[in-house]
Amino acid sequence: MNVLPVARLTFKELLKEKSFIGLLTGEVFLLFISKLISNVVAGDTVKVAMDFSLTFFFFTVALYSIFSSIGSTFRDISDKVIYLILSKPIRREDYVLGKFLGIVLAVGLFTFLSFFLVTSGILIMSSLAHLYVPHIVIVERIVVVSIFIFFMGVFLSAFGVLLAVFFTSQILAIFSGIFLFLVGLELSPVKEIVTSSKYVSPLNKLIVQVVYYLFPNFSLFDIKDYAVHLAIHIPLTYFFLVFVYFILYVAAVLAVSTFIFDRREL
Amino acid sequence: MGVLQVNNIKKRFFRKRSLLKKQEVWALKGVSFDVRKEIFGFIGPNGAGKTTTIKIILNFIRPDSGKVSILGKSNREISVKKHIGFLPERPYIYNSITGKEYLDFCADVYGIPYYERKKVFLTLLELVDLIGVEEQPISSYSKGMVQRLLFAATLINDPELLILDEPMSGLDPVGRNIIASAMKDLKRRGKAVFYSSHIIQDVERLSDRVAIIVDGEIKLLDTITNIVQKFLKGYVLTVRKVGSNNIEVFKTTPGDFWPFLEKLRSEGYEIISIEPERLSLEEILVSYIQKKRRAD
Ligand SMILES: Nc1ncnc2c1ncn2[C@@H]1O[C@H](COP(=O)(O)OP(=O)(O)O)[C@@H](O)[C@H]1O
Ligand SMILES: [Mg+2]
Repeated sequence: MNVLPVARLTFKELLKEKSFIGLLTGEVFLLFISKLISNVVAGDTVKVAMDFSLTFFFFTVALYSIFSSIGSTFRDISDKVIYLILSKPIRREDYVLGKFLGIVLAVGLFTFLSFFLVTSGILIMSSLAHLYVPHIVIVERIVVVSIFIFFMGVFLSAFGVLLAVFFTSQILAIFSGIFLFLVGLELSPVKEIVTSSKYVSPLNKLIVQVVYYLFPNFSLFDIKDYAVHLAIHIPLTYFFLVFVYFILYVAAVLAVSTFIFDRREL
Repeated sequence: MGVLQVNNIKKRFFRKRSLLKKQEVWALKGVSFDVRKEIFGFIGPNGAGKTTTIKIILNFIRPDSGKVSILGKSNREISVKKHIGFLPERPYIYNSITGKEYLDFCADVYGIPYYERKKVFLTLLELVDLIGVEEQPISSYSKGMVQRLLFAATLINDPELLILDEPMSGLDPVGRNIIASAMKDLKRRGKAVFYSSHIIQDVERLSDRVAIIVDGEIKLLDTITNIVQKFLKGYVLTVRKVGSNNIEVFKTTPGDFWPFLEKLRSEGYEIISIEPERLSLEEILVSYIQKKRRAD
């Protein structure tokens, strides 16, 4: 097994890519935007700012995961770094796993740093608001939200690796990644509309049901309301089930990636 | 004895002609050779199938038929890669990392402990004349420096078989010399070196044996000495009449050589030197390429 060297190399390379620091800078910029929006939108300013900050957090990590996983894996293949790697005693499955692990580490660090930025931003915004006392509970809940965002990033990264080994065009891979993500976010509303419609045949409803359960559901990881509205409680079983879903799905995606990559001509 | 054995490998690609039509192209039409503990040159023009052969040897692509074995095992077995070094054609590594970070990756793969690394890296960097730049990002290296670094890295596991795809192209004379002496050193230590080249310059003095590949077929495989002998054009004789200071030069074909010597002797000439006149490897290669052109 030679997974770790690949993971380490991937991690180092990703941290030095411009997208890492670039998207973190973007994150800070988006915090200011959130503050600006909260000033003009009606409602509890702090909650609105928090809502937007966490949404931006979610999307930035998603974007970073897609770009880093597809970009890094794709570059290896198109720039022939893969030849340097696979001429060493590294199996193709070691490569896929190591690549994924390295990306997960980078996404993890990215999420961790984003968490600091976002939490500081939110704490500053709430202390600027009158009559608002920042409470540790908020930070605790942002931690939980961040962990879910991290899982979402890992989930997307697994798909990123799959798309990168499947497609021979990087643009196509990235667009598919973004498409997959956006559709996976809006699954429930689509399903609700279709299944409650009188105009859709039962067969099509069934198909939509099946797709709904099989398609990667990224909205499961979006629990920002949990931090924004302290009254909301999420049962432990939800966390547990999402975690099991996440693990099984990631394992399956990696298995398929390995299967494809093993047969690919390089 | 065979370190690398390539048995009748064939490889077909499909080239897209239009949206639906695909043209079948046989890039390799049954290539066989074996590499011993020697320097083996694999020469041929661009598009002859050198890189394709190397990709098959390293299991990056699979042949449509045929077999490759390395050190007596199938090339599909991952364990054989412990004893291989490989430098791809126009090699590339991430610009953002440093030379040392790449060497660290290689050392990680082969399980070289940290306390040994400094010494190992120093030896390798010294070999390719890169001491002092290892902490700098590869983006600051010239193309030749990257190639030298990656070449040095292929030696980190002291490979039994070194495979180099066009190692000389893109290098200045000093860089070429560095690689050539490293290859000779490996051979001296009982290792096998297999390298491809479309530039003949260094091949002749560097290789023990060469295979000439044109259009997916091996046209010739022999030792450099034999090849050069086989392609003897004739002899150049430098002579003078006994007692005279007047030097004369004659050329003969191999068939006329002995009668011509007889004649010179009977006419009272003494011989100053006899030199065989041979086709250079380059001319031999060109003759094969032209033969192919004529056939097309
Ligand atoms: N992936 C591929 N798809 C289609 N044709 C290919 C592919 N790889 C190589 N070829 C063709 O196979 C032939 C041999 O190529 P290659 O092995 O790269 O030659 P060389 O390394 O000797 O210059 C060429 O005609 C090339 O166009
Ligand atoms: Mg080539």
